[in-house]
Parts: sequence; structure tokens; C-alpha cells
Amino acid sequence: MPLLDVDNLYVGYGKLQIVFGANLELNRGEILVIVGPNGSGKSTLLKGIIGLATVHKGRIFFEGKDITRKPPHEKARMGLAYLPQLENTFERLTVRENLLMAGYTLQPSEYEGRLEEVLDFLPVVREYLDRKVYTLSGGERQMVALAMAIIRSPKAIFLDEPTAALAPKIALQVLEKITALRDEFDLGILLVEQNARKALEIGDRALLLVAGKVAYYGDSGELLKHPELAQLYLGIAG
Amino acid sequence: MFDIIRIVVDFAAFYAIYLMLSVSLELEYGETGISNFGKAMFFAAGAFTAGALVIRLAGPIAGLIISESELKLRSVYYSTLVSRYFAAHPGVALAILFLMLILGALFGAVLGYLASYPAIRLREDYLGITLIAASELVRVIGRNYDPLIGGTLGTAVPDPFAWLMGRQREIVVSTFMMIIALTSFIVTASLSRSPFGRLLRAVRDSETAAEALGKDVVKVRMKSLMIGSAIAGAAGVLYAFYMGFVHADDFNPIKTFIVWVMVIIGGSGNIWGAAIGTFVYLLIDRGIALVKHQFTLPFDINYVSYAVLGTLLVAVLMFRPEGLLPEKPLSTIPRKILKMRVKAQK
Amino acid sequence: MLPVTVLIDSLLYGNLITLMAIGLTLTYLTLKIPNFAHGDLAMVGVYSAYTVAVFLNINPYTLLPIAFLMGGLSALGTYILVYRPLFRKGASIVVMMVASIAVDIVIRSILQIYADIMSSTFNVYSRGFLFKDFSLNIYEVRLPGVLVISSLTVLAIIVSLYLFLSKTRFGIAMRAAIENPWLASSLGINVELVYGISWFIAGGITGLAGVFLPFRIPTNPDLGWLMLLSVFAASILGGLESLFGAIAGGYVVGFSEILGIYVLSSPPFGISTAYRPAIPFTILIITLLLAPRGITSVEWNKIATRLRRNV
Repeated sequence: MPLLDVDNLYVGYGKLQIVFGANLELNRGEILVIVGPNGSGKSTLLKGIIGLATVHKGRIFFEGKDITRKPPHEKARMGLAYLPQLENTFERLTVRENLLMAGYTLQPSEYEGRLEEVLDFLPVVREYLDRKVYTLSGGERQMVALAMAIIRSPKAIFLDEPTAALAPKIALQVLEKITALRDEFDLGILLVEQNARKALEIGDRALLLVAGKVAYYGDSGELLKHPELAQLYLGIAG
Repeated sequence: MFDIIRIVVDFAAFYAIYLMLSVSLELEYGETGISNFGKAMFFAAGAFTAGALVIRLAGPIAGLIISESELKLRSVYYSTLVSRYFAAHPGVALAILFLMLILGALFGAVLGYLASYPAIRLREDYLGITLIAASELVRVIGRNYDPLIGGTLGTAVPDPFAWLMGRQREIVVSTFMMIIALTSFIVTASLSRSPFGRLLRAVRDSETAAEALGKDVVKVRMKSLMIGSAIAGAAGVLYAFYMGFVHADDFNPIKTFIVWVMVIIGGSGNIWGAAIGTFVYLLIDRGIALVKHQFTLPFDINYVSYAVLGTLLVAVLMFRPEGLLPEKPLSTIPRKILKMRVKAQK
Repeated sequence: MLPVTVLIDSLLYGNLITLMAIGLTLTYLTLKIPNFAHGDLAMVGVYSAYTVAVFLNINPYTLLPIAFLMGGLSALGTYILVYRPLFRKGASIVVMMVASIAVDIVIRSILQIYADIMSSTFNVYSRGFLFKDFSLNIYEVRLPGVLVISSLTVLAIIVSLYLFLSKTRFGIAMRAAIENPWLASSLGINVELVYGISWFIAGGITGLAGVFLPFRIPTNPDLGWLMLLSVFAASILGGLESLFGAIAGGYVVGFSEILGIYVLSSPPFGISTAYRPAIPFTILIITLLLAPRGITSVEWNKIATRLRRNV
């Protein structure tokens, strides 16, 4: 049984329809990369699964349970973490306070233990634990957001363009951490990325969305090497 | 028993005054989106004009020697003498009346021009605070600067219709006020339907879009506020003459609030809403005023009517925010004709 | 030379405005609406304390907790009954402001009716009353008790607010929910509960401020509304979104009003003290037109460098 099973999902905002009939499966310990041109509905698909966009049709199963109509905070309690692209941290709070908020639903004793584990996994965050987030660089913030997403020990994590607007070197570090998340914590990861080549390199499987429809679903290395698709939609020269 | 004609005539007079105020707020807020929380101030501008000038202007014409130092204490006496002169000279009385209406509207417009300075620059919440505060400041000045309208004592205003008597006078006064009010209503309604009105709503709905079309948003807002304030100023003049007295404390923020209640109950964005809202409000208000003498309660029943009014408004905001008459979508050209034209072009 | 009493009055008024401005800012932070009914919360505080003080013949200072509770409950009540439902429906700022004026008028009318009943049925002097105060003599200066108690209260409020907002989980959640309600709720924080508590605390602090009023100012149900302009001036001077800005703004407004009108009403100016509201109004206008985000947003360093360069 896959961790997450999305079945023929139609997503949009209000009456507006953006994603048409997406199917995907996500297992523990794998990265599924969602790529596609601007406006193809990548983020919308993610938001539809997490419950921040309107699902018109289709079903979502998590560990075999139908979670299609569950509100976001219940999905969060079941072990789904979502890292939005923008405003994913509280700017006026310190990093420590941000992490405390991310673990708001945990028992204090449980939280202390998780905090240490997360900081061991992302040791850089320890360096700016008591700084306010607005004083951090984009890369540092993204690390904080990542730490916030995993503090409640989720089973699956949805990342919406975690490397957007980061310097290439920093972006690489973030992607490295994402790979480590998969390997060390056995997480299922849905990764939406603009930077298609790098993402497909670290991904296990890939889903290509074009104008709201799935144009490719399969091995991510295959897509990278695909003569037409990669060049047409991802700007990757064959 | 109640004197029905008196009640109707009195209702008409108040309706005229409040119709002008609600129509002016409809123009500013309903059509342009300016949250004018200082309506009482523009209303006061007109009333203060009449209160400060009528005795001083008409006194010398009537052959009176007005002593500035005694004006505060003797305004009722002077006012009676001027009214007596008016009774014998209807022409002068009417000339003064019209002059005051023009001046009141003018001072209102000037105040509107001044208020447009913050109105253009500030966010809605800041603007609301600023105008409500400015309005209170004007009241404080009126209350404490004696030469204006007699400070804490207030000032009497002569009766420009003193040349008529009894019932006849009452009917003429109310008719006159209704004519002025209907004129402002018609002017505002036709403005609303004109290209200027469409421009106002464009500014209200999206300042950026209006600006992108090359429209001078600043000027549009300024004009709307000036026209609205001129109408409110004229209403103030009528109010001063009708009451025969002006006191600064009459122009407290509750006056502003009442006008908002009217516009919101009626439905903002629709000028007929202002007319209906004013009617409904006055019906409740005058109704309470009529029956309140029938009771003896251990408290002032006016407060009950304010509390009821406040609750009513909150209820309307919650359950029918569009008011009794919601704004209609724009339709200068009927849809059918539009379709026919499109077909013809094909 | 300024008489000491003027300084004492300034500090006292600064304390009151500061307490009320902290409350106003706290409510503004949650729903981002200026609450025109805020001043009335102080009156709810003072009338509840006064009632108990009169009927049980107790010192008003011991009734501060009751004022806090009543002010807090009134604020929470308006939040639950009026502002939260409107906010849920996505009402505009203007609609929320109109609603808050309606709330102001309802609360004030109820207080007026209450004051009427107090005087007509119970023969209690309910308008223009004053509280008796004690005084402390320190060296040559006679300090009124209300100055001492209100200063201590301000200090206690500031310290406990600081500790609450920076050291407790719930306090931090409050700051989080204020900054980004969407993110906060996605993390499992009950944003509406947090906002409700903010309103309660804000109303409580304002209710406290009310109790100090009758020691100096003859009190009636309209007093809160009349002070609102000064409170808004203080909050806006502080940037409307900063509690520490509100504290600074409170004292600036308090001192400029009392000192300002003292100077303006004495020779050579001789202006009537009745024009006092012009002072907070001027502060308000100048702030809005020059630094709309308040003193905390002004980049003093830049101004200083520019000044140095010009000199």
C-alpha cells in the first residue's frame, strides 16, 4: 500500500479549474518530483492534496484512509507536512520560537527530544537559533522552514519550490538536505521544483504537468533523458 | 392627540436635511469609496455659517446696531428683531436665505477640499480616524470660540420665513426644504449615471486600474469629496434655519454615525438606497420621539433608541450587508440593445 | 519654572493614555481595525469599580481586578458577537469601523442608562464623581496616591506583557497568529482563541486605566470616547502595530497634552484650555502625514547621517 495515493484529482480555486485528473502514488523513502512549465498547476496540485485549494473531483488516500475532505490541520496531525513557497516562517519571531510554534501540538517533553533530533539533522540552524527570522538570509530561512516542516515527525512532506530565489550554491545545499531527509528519516517527499534538472537528478520518480494534465509519470532519470519532453517543457537540452 | 399634519410636515423637514446628508455620503462612500467619518463636520460648516452670519448681516440691514461683545448673550433678542424685520421684508429674507445656502455649500466645499488632502494619501482606517478627530476638533472650536456661534451658549438664527404664519408657514418651509433636498438628490443621481459617476466607481473598485487608464484619481476623489461636502454644508444651513438655533454640541459624531446608518441600511452604492435608508431611519427615530413622552422611565429613553439603532446597524452589517436596495450592476446601455449592436457589427 | 504639579499630572495622564494605547494596539494587531469603542472599555471598568466601591464602601484601588475582568469581558464579548462574525464574512475595514462606532454607541448608551438608574433609583451620584485619594510625602514633594499606583500598574503590565509574549508558549503563539494567521493555523494553533484572549487582555488593561480616571477627572460615560482621540494619537505615533511604540506614544501624548496646554494657557498665549484636544490631533496629523508607520518606523540613523552631512 502506498503512503499517499491520489486518484483522478481535479483541483482549482473556487470555480476555476486548474488541474485535470492527476494520478500519483508516493511511497516512504522516495522523492517524487513534480515539474512542468510556469502555470501548469504544480503548486495547485500540492495545495489540493494538502487542502488549501478546492478539490472538484477525485480522491486522496493517506495510509489507506480517505482524507479528501479533511481540513489542513487534521491532515497535519496525521503526518502530512506542507512547506509553502512564501511566508513559511514567522519573520518577527526568533528561530527557536518558530520551531516551538511548528511543534505547537506536541507535548513539551516530546518537543524537546524532537528539537534535538532536528537540530542534529540540520546543524546549521543551531548557529542562528536565537536570531529573529527577518535577519536571516533566504537560504537560512529555508533551512528553518525545513526544520519546522519535520519537527512533528511527519510521514510525508510536501515542498513547494524550496529553492526558489536562492543562490545556486545554497539551493544545492537545500536539495542535499532533502535527499538526506528521504534516506535518514524514510520520508515520502513531494517536491515541486522550477529547477527541473537538479530536482530530477535527486528524484526517484517524476510527474510532468502540462496545462493541468499529467504528461509524464514514471522514472525521473528517464524524463531527464527523454528527447522531446525534457527539451520542450523543461528547457533541458538533450 | 397627535397633530398629524404637524408630524408629517416636521418629518418632511428632517427627511430633507438627512436626505441631503445621506446622498452626500452615498456619493463619497457608496460611489467613490471614501470613508468619510467626519460628516458632522461638513454639516456643521453650513450650520455655523448661518449661525455666525445671519444676525451680523441682516442686523445692520434691519437697522440694528449689533454689539459684538453682547452678541453671545443676546443672540435670541437680536434674532427676534431680525425675524420681525424679515416678516415685513420677504425679499430680503429670501435673499439672505439663498446667500447662506450658497455660502454654506461653499464653506462645506472648502472644508471638503482640505479634507481631501488626507483622503487621498491615507489608508481607509487612518482616514477614518483623522476625519472623526477633525470633526470633534471643529466641534470643540465651535463650543469654545465665542465669536463664532456663541460658544457654550449657542446662537439663535432668525426665521427667513417669518413673513408667513402658522400652518401655512410650516408647509412652505418643509416644501422649500424638500425642493432643495430633491435638487441635490437629482444632481447626485445624474452625476452617478454620468461618465463621472462611472469614473468614481472605477476609482472605488480599483485605484490602480483607473490610474492605468490615465484617470487622475486624486482629482476624482477630491471632486467627489467637495461636491459631497457642499451638499452637507447646504444641509447644515437648512438645519440651522429650521431649528432656529445652532449649538456646537449638536454636531457630535453621533450625527455622522446616523448618516452612515442610513446609507448602510438603505444599501450603499445605490442612491435610492440612501433615500430609503433615510426614510426608514427617520421613521424609527421620529416614532420613538413621538411615543417617548408617553412613558416615565428611570432613565432617558433617548439612550434606548441609540442602543437599538446601534444593534440594528450591526445586525444589518452581519445579515444583510448590501442593505435594503443593493447596488445594481452598471447598465447604461441595456443588455438587449448591446447584443443587437454586437450582432449588427458582425 | 514648571510647577511640580504639572509634571505630576503629565506623568499621570501619560500612564492612563499608555495603558489605553497598549490595549488599543493589542486589538488592532489582531483584526487590523481601529476600534472606536475602545475608550468605552475604560468606562466599563470605572463604572463596575465605582458600583462596588459605593455599595460595599471599599477603596477603589482594591477593585482593580474587577475593572480588569469587566473591561476584558466586554472586549471579548464585542469580539465574539460583532467583530469575529464580521471578520469571518470578510467584511471590509470600513464596515468593521462602522460596526465599531455602532458598538461604541451601544456601550455608551447602556452606560448612560446605567448611570441614570444609579442616580434615579439608588440615589447614587453617577456623573461627575471623583474618588478620594491618599498621598505620599517624599521630601518636599507631595505625590498623589493615584500617581504611585498607576505608575506601578503600568510597570507591572509592561513587565508581565513582555514575559507573557516572549516566554510563554501561548504568548509566542499570539505573536505568531498576529503575524501570519494562515501559517499559524496550519501549524495547529487556534487563531480565533488566541485573538479572543488578546481582546480580553486588551479590554482588561483598558478597564484598569478607567479606575484611575475619577481620581483626577470628573467621570461620566462619555469620558472614554473623549479620551479616544489621545489614545489613537498615542497608538498611531507608536506605529499602531507595536506595543512598545504604544508605550512611547502614550507618554509623548500625555506629556505634550498637559505640558502643552499649561504653556499655551499661561501668558503670553492665554489660550483657553478647552482647546486641549487640538494637541493630540496635531500629533496625529503630523504623524500620519510625515511618518505614517509611526516613530518606530522612522530611520533615525539615516536622518542623523543626513543631518551630520548637512552640518
